Amino acid sequence: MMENIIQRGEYEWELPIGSVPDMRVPGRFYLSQQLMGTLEEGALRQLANIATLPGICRHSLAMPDIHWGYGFPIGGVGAFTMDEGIISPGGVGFDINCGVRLIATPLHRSDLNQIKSVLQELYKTVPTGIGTKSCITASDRDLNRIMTEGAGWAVDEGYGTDHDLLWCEEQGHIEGADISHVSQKARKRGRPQCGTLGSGNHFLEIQCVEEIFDPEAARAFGIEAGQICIMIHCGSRGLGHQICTDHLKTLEDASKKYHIPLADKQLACAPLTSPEGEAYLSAMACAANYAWANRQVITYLTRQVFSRAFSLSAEEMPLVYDVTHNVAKIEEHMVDGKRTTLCVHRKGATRAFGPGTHDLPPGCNTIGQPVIIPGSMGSSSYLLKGTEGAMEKTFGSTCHGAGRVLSRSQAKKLATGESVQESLGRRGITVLAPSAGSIAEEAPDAYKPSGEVVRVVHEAGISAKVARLNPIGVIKG
Amino acid sequence: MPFSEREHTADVLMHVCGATRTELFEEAAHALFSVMFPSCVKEEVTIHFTLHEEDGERLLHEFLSEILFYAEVECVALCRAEVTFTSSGLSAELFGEPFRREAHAGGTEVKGISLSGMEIMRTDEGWSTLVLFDV
Repeated sequence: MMENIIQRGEYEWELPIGSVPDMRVPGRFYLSQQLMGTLEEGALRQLANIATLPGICRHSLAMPDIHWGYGFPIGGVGAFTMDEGIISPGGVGFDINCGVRLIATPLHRSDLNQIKSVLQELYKTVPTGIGTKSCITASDRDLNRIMTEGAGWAVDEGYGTDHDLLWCEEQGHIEGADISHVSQKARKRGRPQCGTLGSGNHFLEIQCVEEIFDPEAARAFGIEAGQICIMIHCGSRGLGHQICTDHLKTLEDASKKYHIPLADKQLACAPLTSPEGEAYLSAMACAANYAWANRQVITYLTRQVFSRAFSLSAEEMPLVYDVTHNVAKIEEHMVDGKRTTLCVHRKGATRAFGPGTHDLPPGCNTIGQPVIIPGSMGSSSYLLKGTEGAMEKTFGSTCHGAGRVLSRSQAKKLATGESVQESLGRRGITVLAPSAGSIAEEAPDAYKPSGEVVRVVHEAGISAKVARLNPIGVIKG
Repeated sequence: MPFSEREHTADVLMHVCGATRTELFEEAAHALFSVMFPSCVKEEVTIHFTLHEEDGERLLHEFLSEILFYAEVECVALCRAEVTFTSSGLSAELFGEPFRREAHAGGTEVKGISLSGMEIMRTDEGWSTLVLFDV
């Protein structure tokens, strides 16, 4: 597979048709020479597999955080035409609308002498790790509204401000959610978990803005050097996991029914126009909306801690933005000079709409969409902006994070949780987690360097750097 | 080893073996428990469920997905599974402890059971398959 790749630009590579049987279009991916050594055969094969699916438009794509997952690779993007194309949970993942949000504060690093006590308070307040329940139990009626109104439900209930919704991708909910396609099992899992972080790579971080690259965009996004921000990374919890599981079964049958050969069983799919495809899309929207409500409730809990510690109001801690990085959405893009409606799957990839597109927050029409790229525990996170280059090349998409290079077991062999915690402590980063193992699994060395991944998307023109943030306090899920 | 971890960058990939099909299913459950509830050893609570599903990967996928559901909604940490195949699917008994944060927080949440690479093989030594847990 590796020997097939062709360089198309300094950071742009092509995986030609024929790399696996039945590819309909070539694959394209973005990587620097420095990151080439991190490219895995398994991830390339998954990129090629996307290109075998019906209705795939132009290329199957992967961002520089590409790594081996299931179905699509992580960092994978696939856009499908509405008439011939398909929708697949393999292009979304179990954690539907896993995403990131960034909250600004008026605080500066010097205000955070009591970082450890604030972090302890956050750790006590935000339910974190396996088996945790939210402080709110959603009623059946609440759950219906959560699944259809998303973050809007949370704001209505007093867990945020109208400003939060304006500064959220899709204003915190996508249309087309149909609760009749959500099972009782999914509902049962979802009811007690709205407002929980979960485990794995999910986190809540206190960060400091270290560097501004684009002062105009930073001003528009409400960010300045030295400022303290809070980043939240989590998704749709058990409700989303169960929706994926339930529909995977239906879609596996649908793939047979519609005679769609699958290179990987996790790519089970159905035509976008089929009842099975429509059912998954509308159930997926329910989970996506749940995830936005979840991040909004966590935002509320976080603001409460900061309000108590620093006497701040919610308005003084505005949302900078919220992005989803596991979703399939119906979007319009220019294809061969024609405005075309597509179903864009982003699996570990972030929307990065450029200037002049729709769904940009207030005052960002000439700037583009804010894009949030979390670093690994010890490395920098970035705030980027969407670009015209992304609209032209990647259906308005960019990377979603640093991307793993080591498996979790390799990471645990390399260092203990305690040693990672100590070495981060020496660099002024406090880490709290339910277990040492979860810290070791997410050690900085398990990931590609976030700076290099971001340099690639910046140089390739599929998003542009606005600011860099460094972690000072981390709560690991 | 009835199950062993294989390298996988994003998730947890397990190679599972069993002398019989029953053992294969039970060991796949034990592989899942080892990720989610490594500290669970006591058999204080029991969960029982039945599945009506055709045999093969589909049944294994359903079985493991059902475990995720029950572990979460019943708030239990699990350590052992007993499987009995029936004419229409299977009957399962799961054993473990009530979930206690102070005892079980070290586990990793599994978000889903991927179909990717799951293929039950029958060899001279018995049965085997790969199972990928999304974490």
